Amino acid sequence: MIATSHILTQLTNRLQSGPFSIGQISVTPASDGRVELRHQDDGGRPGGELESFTDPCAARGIAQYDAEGEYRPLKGSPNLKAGWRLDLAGPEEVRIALDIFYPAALAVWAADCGGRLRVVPLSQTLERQTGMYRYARTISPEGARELTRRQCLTGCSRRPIWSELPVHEMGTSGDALPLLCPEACSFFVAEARLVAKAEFEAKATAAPGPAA
Amino acid sequence: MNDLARLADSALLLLGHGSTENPDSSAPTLAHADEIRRRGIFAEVQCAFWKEEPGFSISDYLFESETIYAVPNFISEGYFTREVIPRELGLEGPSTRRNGKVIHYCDPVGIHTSMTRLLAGRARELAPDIPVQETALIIVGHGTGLNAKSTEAIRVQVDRLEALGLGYGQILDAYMEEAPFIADWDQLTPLPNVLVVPFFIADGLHSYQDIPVLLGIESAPTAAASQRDVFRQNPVHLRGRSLWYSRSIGTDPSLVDVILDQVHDFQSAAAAA
Repeated sequence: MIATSHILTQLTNRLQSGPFSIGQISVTPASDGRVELRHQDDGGRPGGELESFTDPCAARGIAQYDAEGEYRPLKGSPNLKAGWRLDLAGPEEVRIALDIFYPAALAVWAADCGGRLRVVPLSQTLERQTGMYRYARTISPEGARELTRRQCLTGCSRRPIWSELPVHEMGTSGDALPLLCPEACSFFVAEARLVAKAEFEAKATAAPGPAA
Repeated sequence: MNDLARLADSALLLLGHGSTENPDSSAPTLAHADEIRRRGIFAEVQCAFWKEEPGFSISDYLFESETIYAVPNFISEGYFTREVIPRELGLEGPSTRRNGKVIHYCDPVGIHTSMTRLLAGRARELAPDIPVQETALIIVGHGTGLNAKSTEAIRVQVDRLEALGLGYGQILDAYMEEAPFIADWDQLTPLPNVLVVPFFIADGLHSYQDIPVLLGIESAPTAAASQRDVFRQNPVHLRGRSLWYSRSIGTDPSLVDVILDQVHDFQSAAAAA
């Protein structure tokens, strides 16, 4: 049997309590039950100046490329393009759109609200890697912290609650729905492998060679 | 599918590779999920990816159904279907029970017998009016000396296509990095018409950039599939032959039925056990 949709219930309740933001998006419920999504940078612009959509799946076309036309594989990247608005029929359509803009964000948020979210430490994520990514586990603690600052704190809107860095204030302004990251993603693991390799090569270069 | 009603309370998780470089890699998986969602067969339909979001390991949170069918949208058995996905999803076997839910892990789409029907249909649509007895159908894959499974799936399909008695003068397998090489396509057959169908899940870098160069259609790799279209040039007259080049088999809308077939087969096998 399917359980009652906790995710949709949580989202409906949040919409009933007024406007909120998620990542770079402003979500504004209207009195007639419709909900508008737009980029937060377009906050003060008249709706007529923005490209309007009523299909929540239009989010896919918006989220796929940045303003320069570059592919955005990491949807948490803080480079969502502006200039659009989604005029949606209600919570179901809002969920579809937000699942595209920030995949799994609502599900993770609902799990957190329900006390079901499992935070996975970085060491555990790296330890289970195999194949070419096995090497990522050799990254130094400082290398991992620096990578987290660069890749996660600067390069992603999600809050890496798996990190030992003080990230618990990120994205917690009054009307923000948190974008929680409970586990280092494959983008991080791939970068960790490169950092670990660079660290190894730097050590090999610094170490004195065998005597001739 | 004979058991659609039984799936109305279940969820479908489609698992794809995805790409950090090519936006077309995940497109077929997302499109197939959209179509299955539109048909209303499952209570929930979601995708997860190795190289895109959401990642495999957090797919647990996506569902509220108690029963989840996980189908790898991969072309063959191998490292991803046998090691990466089970590890990232925390699977313990064909069916994994935890936290009041059960995840049924189905076979990858590419090894289902109904893929043969798709290949035959794709070849027919590619060049419907040519005499098949004067035509060679080449199914092309990646191939690598490191993994025999890489070519096995394609050889099986070629055998099954032969068994259908479609009338083609020849049906052959060929590979990018292993003999018989697709670059030698004109040496593999003396027939005047050649159909080439890539056995890949998406129009990624291999099917859209690498193979056209190996065939001689393009001189150098260029932009991604969604940004240009090599497939509208069919047929290309090259090396004294007429050559038709298809999109990857995984982009075929009928792949939706193969995904559903894998779920159905899992149900049948579980019932028989």
